Amino acid sequence: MNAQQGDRITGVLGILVSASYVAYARRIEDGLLADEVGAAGVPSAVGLLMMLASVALLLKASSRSAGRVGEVAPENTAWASHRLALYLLGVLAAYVLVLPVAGYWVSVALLIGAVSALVGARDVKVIAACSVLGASGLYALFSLLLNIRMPAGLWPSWMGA
Amino acid sequence: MDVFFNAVLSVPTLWLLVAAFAGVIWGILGGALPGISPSIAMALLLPFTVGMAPATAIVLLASVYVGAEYGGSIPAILIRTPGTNSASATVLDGYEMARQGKAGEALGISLISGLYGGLFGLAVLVLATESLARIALAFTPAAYFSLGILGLSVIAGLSGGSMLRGVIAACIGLMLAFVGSDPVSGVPRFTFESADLLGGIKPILIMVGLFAVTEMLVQIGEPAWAKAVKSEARLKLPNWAMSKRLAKPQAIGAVIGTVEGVTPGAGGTIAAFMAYSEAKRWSKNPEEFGKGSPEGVAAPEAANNVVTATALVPLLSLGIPGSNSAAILLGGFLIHGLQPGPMLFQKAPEIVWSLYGGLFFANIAMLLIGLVILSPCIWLVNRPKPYLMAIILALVMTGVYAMHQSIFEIGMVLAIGVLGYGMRLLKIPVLPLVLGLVLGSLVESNYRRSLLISSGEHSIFFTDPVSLVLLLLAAVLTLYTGWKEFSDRKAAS
Repeated sequence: MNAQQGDRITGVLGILVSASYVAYARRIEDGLLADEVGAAGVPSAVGLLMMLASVALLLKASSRSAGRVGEVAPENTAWASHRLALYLLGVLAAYVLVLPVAGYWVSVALLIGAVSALVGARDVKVIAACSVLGASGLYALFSLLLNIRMPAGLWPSWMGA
Repeated sequence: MDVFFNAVLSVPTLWLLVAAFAGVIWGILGGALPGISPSIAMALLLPFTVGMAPATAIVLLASVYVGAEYGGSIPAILIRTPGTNSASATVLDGYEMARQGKAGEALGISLISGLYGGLFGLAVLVLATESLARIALAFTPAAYFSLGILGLSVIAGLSGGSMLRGVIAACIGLMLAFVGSDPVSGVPRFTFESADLLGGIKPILIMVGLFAVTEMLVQIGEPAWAKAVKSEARLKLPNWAMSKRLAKPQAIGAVIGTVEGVTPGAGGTIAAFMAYSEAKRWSKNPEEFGKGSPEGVAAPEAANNVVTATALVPLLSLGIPGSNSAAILLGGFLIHGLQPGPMLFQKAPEIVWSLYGGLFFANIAMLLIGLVILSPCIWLVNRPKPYLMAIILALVMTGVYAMHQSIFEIGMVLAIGVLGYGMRLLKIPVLPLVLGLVLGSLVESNYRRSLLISSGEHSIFFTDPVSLVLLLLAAVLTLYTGWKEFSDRKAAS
């Protein structure tokens, strides 16, 4: 992505976000203790400021000559990186979903294993060892040493406890 | 000298000393890992500080910052990969020295220069901060509003060449700050009827998401870093003759680090490169720079360690974080219900003195630990990236949950991480967002309070002399940066 494209995308996203934000702010109803400015006053002003900056950025992008587009990153490398980031995000989202069901130890062991494999680890035995040791170490640190109650998951109900 | 003794004597408990040493160890190890900046090393520790005594937590976080600046120079010297951004200037001569078989000497120069820089910066911090805070104590709500506006106008200097992107980032920060109950009427705003958002989005979640999660999302696409050779590195402290030679570049680094540190947005990287350039200009042997000059290591290392203390001047005196690391430290204050700024000296002076004392011991700890930690650092740098990343991510996720035992907050951190990744992709600077986030409440509540006092008259912001001066300063700063950006663009075309 070159600088011009970046400015354009930022400008368009900025306008969309700020317009939605201002529209949402306008719907805020003031309570009995409201002052002259109101609960929506400052947020609306900030939304409008963002809209102005976004429009200015769009205009700046349009005013640039087509010949000067700035530095361009190799597309293939960039997309490969974004794809990996997306997969990592998927793994992290899965962790959030699995945590209340499978409990802390199992979820974090799966997280360590999945992230290691995603980043490039191939030796299954080492991945498994790292997952078990990592999960046990973190469990010992947080649950046993710092005495923080970590999610037990559905294990107690499954085991009839 | 009294202030120094006060500072040192204010570290009365064993826990503060433990925090200083532990923070430095964590900082050096984190800094030694390429991709883990001081702010990320600090952000990783933030969740652990929740249950700690406030002074211990603040000293721990500040000590991480001190340690990380030295840690960053280790891979810079050994494998030509700066562990932190501010260690980039150290690569120029540090790696050349390593290639000439003088890696240990370069590491010793880095350590000693860092120690001098850190102690000098601490002296500046102690002497400058309280006087600045005392002035700010006389502020009215109108002046506080204008101070917030001045803080936001600093955005211009933090925007990496695009003020408009900086303004957009600051607006996002302000928008995030407005989530939750309205400070005056108490009505919910931008909560989407979620009870979890009624209390607002905690700054710590935003900082962990923006700094730690975003960095992991970026790092996964980066190639693995090179391996360090253990036999090449045996730390060697400079002898008397070398110390005399290094005094000048270290002094240059100290002065530049002070100026850059107290200037919000400048930071250690700019200080290090400027110090390198000035040390070369004033050196008797400028031709050696870039070919393994010890002076080329001393100047940037002194400069970036001065910044670890002087960057805290605007934070402690005015409540304005001027760097990512200062923003994370601010997060540490907020977790414990403390608001940095002039009132901190009135409400919790013991925290400030503990921080000064803790920073002093952190610098001493850096010297002691620096002498023995090289082998563990090399071991850590040489660990396979997949397992390191996996453990770091597991630590982040666990730490976030541990703060309030909330799975919702883990989801929030992930969402903020995605926002940070998008911002990185679109080259939108992160620091203005953090500024908007932390200054949002200050600006809004003092604006509305001022209007209540003046019965809705906006002239209060111009009739209050302090407010007027601050607003003028903000205008000058914004116009100057806008003009500079415009003229730079014109010159480039």
